[in-house]
Amino acid sequence: MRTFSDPSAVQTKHYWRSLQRLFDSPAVQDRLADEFRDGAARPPDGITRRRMLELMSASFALAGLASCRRPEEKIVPYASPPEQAIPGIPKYYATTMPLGTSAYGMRVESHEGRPTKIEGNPLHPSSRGAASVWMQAAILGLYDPDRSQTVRYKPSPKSNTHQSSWDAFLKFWTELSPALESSRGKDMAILTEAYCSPTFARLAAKFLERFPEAPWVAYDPVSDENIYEGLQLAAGQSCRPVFHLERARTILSLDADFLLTESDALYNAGNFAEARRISDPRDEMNRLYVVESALSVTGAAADHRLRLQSRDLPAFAAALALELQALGVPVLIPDKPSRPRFPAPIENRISIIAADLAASGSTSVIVAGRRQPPEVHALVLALNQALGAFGNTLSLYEPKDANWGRTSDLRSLATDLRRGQISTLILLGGNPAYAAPFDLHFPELLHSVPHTLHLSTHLDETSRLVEWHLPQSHFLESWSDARAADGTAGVIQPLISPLFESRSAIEVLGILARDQEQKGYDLVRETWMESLLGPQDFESRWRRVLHDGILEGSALPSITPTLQQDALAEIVFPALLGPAKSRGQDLEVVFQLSPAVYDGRFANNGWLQELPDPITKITWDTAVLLSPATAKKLNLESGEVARLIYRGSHVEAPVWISPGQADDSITLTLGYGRTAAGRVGSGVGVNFYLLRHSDAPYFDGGLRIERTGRRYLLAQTQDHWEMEGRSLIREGTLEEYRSNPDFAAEPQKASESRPLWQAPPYDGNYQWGMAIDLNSCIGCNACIVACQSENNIPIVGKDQVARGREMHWLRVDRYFAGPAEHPQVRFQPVPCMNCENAPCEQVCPVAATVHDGEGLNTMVYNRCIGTRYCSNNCPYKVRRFNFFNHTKDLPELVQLSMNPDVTVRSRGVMEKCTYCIQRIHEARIEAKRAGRSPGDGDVKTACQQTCPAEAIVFGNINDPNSRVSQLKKQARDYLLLAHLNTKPRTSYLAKIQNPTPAWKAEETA
Amino acid sequence: MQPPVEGTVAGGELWENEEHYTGRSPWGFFTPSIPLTVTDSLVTRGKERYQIYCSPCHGSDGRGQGILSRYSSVKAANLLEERIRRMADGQIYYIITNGSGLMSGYRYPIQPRDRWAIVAYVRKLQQEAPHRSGDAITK
Repeated sequence: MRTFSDPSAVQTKHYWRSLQRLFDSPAVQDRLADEFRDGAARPPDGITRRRMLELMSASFALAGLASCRRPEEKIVPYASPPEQAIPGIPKYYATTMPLGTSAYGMRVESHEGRPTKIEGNPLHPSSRGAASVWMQAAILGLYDPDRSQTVRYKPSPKSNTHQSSWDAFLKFWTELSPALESSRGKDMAILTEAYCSPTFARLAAKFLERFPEAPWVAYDPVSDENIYEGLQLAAGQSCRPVFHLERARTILSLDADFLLTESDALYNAGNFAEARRISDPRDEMNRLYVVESALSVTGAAADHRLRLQSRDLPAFAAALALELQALGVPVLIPDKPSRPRFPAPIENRISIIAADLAASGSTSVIVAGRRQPPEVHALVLALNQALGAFGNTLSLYEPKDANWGRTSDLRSLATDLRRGQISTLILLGGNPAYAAPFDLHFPELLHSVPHTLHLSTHLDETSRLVEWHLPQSHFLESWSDARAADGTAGVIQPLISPLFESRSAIEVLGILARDQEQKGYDLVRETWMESLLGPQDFESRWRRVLHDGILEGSALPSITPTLQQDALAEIVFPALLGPAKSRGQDLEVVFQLSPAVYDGRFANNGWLQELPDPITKITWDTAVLLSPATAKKLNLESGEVARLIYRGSHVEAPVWISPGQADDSITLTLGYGRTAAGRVGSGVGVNFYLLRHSDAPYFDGGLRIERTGRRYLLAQTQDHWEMEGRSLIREGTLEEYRSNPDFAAEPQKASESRPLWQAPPYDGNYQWGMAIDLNSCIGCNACIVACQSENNIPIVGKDQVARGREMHWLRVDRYFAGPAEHPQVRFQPVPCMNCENAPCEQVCPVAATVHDGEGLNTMVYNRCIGTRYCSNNCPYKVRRFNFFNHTKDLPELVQLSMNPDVTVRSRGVMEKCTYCIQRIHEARIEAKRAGRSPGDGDVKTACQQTCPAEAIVFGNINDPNSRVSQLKKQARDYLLLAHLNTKPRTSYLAKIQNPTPAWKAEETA
Repeated sequence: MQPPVEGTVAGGELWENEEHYTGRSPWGFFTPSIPLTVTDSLVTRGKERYQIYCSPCHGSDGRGQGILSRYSSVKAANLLEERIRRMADGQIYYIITNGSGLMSGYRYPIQPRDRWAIVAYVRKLQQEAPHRSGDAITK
């Protein structure tokens, strides 16, 4: 291994990027010596090429002849052009993405009638201009060539499905429905996904008017059921929580990943970052405690994280309640409860957290995760009320037009199906054959029902078993509506007419309820005319709703329920207050939502599959996560295949040793192992739904693990581009920052390397630069997908990622510090630094990478001959090389997702972050037309625009008043590898932690 | 290329003031006068757009003697005639937008603001040009 002298080594903390690195395994040492991973710099071989093209064919393409280096395109004019459409000028439409009972407002860019890029809608209360990975990736989901294209009919369970039509289905339904109607729907049932939509709710009521005795079941594999049920238990009425983290000084998360995978994470992330943003040593910061089993993004953001098995959290919550009561917080708890006892270190933590919460009073808030049972949520609501959080850090809203789904309903539906009481089963969305709890045996049940129909976007696991498969429209091509958490009504308007013969869920529900087809547009307008807007001045107000995406002022009033003390005393506390049991060798199994493919519904999306997991950095796979101690006990290594045995079924999957994982707690990520997802998602990873039971959907004991001795390659982006232990991340505590605001500054040392020639003055009007605040970044990966979507970045597949050839222009590095059992985690987004003294430019033999007058390090693809010298000389390793022509041989459909403002690269070309130069040009042209110069904020890079935490700021560094200049002026500002004299235009702001001294004292004791 | 889905509203196309975009009030009456402040720059813009889109048929002086009249028997309207002088501003705007007789609509290439600018320029031509006996004849 080479060593580097680093004059800027101001860090005292020891950072490591993976366990192998920490423990200096010889394999990693070998790899580190080689700057590029084995194969990363080598020409491709035949087998990988084939597999790669297979993957690529579902992912990305540009029209063209197979052998042509620069594909030819033809321009097709509009025959009768619509008003306001100027070719080349994009239009933006407001719409909404429904996900479970949440809704996220979007502003979608449309080029000549095809949507190409998604941003958050600044007016929408849940997204506020930011977008999550799932929102960003929806554009590729729309153009998925594996989407179901026609109605399919299967006459008997044994036969194959064959192509049919909507007319045939309508005929079938109108013949069947009178009989069902006359029996009042007794022998039919309907199963939908969770929803929160006025139109869907209205049509559901219409459907139930016609078939009053039909059981209506909603189910999402991962839902907020526990939260709703718990709040109902404590408050006596349905309510959903909205947290105001920007007002909180002390936050406690109990198994809640509220920054990434819980509902309304975008909103929470924005507020959380807002409260931690500091520009001056006098600024205040919040403090976050996280108690959880698997390391989540929220746990990574915590000032103090306590790892605890998920099954111990109810007792932890009860102990905390008693501790708070002892501190004078008015929690009403029945007499003489038996206090669950934890080992002394955890007990101490409980008292530290309780003291901090009690001291912050109404500026504190406790957030419980959806994994925890209803009783925990009920108790947490009582605690929040006792702390005075209602109306301050927590608001409750009535869940209007919502159905979040109940596992118990699904179970009784399964019972009815098993008894043969149901002759017609209607499935609107969802994929129960894949994702329903294993103990319900849904695939077999579907066979036993005479008539089944399933509406879904893909011919998935469920669709293959049903009589009628109906293709579902993507939300970007259908009309509907959805309510945000606070009740704000948003409209879903289509960006494009349905690409295939598909119908939306409301259109199908309309058919079922009325026996006749009605357009989604009319159904939605009917709802809004009836209830949301009223007939008065409807057209102009409706137009305003479509323009804004939301109905302003439609947020519901928050409610302040009186807590049901009886229920709390009789049901909740007794359920939680049991003494903690000793468990011996018993392992806990915990199910978590994938931060990439969600519950499996996005499995056929290549962007999401290739997205590295924020913590493990594994792509294209799922792994069994276990702690280093558990791995040692079970004699397992990362990448080894283990057999998981639970309640009589078993699954084999690769294990991954995850630092920060609770001991004896095994975390399984749902959403993988699809068998009928499509050409991208089928066969990726392992399906852990096979171990999930309806009575223990989120965690349970009783798991056993056996070794198999086999190994499996997990592709991850973790050990690539090792930065050899330089002080890349700088951080301090709030105290340190206050006593020495310049702690992150470079030591005053002369630079080792001197420029070879005189630097240009860079004094033009516009000099672009970027500042990334590590204090705000939560590591959610949204910037990666936003960049991929904006810049036409190809997907390369697992094999290529394993060779270190991923193409992401922007990566998020994740470093661990401290002990492997409970490390601290730091994230660092790394785009191109756009160095003023760029090492890449100095070695390019053909001047393919050159500087422009505004300080951009630009790439001229046409000149590039692929020597890769630039990548070799880049100290930040932010350049990406096209080993293949990733953009040929691909379906026409996916070409539609390309951004026409960005060149599509060919094989043999180096590429990298351009600071979204196309957006700079667009803003410049726009400003010129308006007769002004681009102002601050006119140019937003894709990563900046999507960031929910506003961690990335871009702008003109020659304007002293621009936001980026203000940030760069801060004492926390520092440069990566400044001693190399590269003069990067991207700088970082050091991270500030806000630990409590009590916790630290405990650690050293 | 795909036409936008019927009924959708893009950002910046709120069109709260319907008359501004259609030239007609919600009750179907033509807007009597240009709903923008008529400035020199608006008229100059109107002149420029007029020369590009209108003058080939209507002629640069507005008398309907554009280059088209040399090669075709199709008669373009004389914009200076009484009939058109009496039209409401909104009606001229409406005709630019949707066409009239053989003239096709120009809603696609000319933005609403530019259409009003053209109306302003046509008014200027009418004001400046003296009445001629032939102008009063209606087609």
